Amino acid sequence: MSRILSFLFLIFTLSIWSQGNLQFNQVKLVSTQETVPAGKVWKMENYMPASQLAIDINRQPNIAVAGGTKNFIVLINGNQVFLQTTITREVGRNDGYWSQDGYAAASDFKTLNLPYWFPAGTTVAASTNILYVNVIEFNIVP
Amino acid sequence: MNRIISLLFLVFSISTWSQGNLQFNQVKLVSSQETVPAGKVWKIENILPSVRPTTTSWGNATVDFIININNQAVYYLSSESKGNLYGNGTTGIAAITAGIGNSPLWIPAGTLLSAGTNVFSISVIEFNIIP
Repeated sequence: MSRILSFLFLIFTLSIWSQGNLQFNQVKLVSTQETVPAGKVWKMENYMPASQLAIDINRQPNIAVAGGTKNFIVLINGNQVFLQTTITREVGRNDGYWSQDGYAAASDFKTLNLPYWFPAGTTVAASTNILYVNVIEFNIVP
Repeated sequence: MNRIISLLFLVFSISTWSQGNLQFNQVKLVSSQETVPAGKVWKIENILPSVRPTTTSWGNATVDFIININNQAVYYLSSESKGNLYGNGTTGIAAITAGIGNSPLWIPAGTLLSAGTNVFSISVIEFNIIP
């Protein structure tokens, strides 16, 4: 009887432990399009920029403006997702003295302050200005 | 005796359930190129800059902090700054520091990592993958 109880206790322990857990499987660096496999989820922790995060703010003599907008984009199910955008701009003085410096401004807009989670079947690919998407793959323990 | 066996079963069942967990192994400072060993993953927590991220003058400054992943440059942090000119003097500084340091980077076994431009070292935690 005690052995039966012990066995039932073991089964019970295993069963309550197994409900809805995520089990680490691997770390991935995703560049070209990949699909989250069945029975897995991907946690996107971060990304790896392939270029400077801001455009040079420095205006050249006799040129009205400098800088610009730089986007860091991944493709989720083929759709563009903007993870970060930086804006820099210098504008020459509007008085004919373009050989002098003018007004400059800069801003950084980042959306990836928390991780993204993707279910099985989702496609992920690095896109504009991104070398790798950094992903942790988990098994869904049934 | 049966209680002991039950307890052992419980401990065994929990321990077997820990498969696929990450186990802390060591903390590393990576400067020259190193490879993530088999059976490990590295978590990049931060970089150690070797220069200040901006200039002290009102002129233009562009500073990038780069790490190398598989011999490719990854821009971890960039800064841009420039003074605003009005009349004969500066009225302020327009500046931006943009990076990816708010979240960690994870790199798998076989990945090459080294410090790049303006980075003295990379702060890494190494984990064992429990098979």
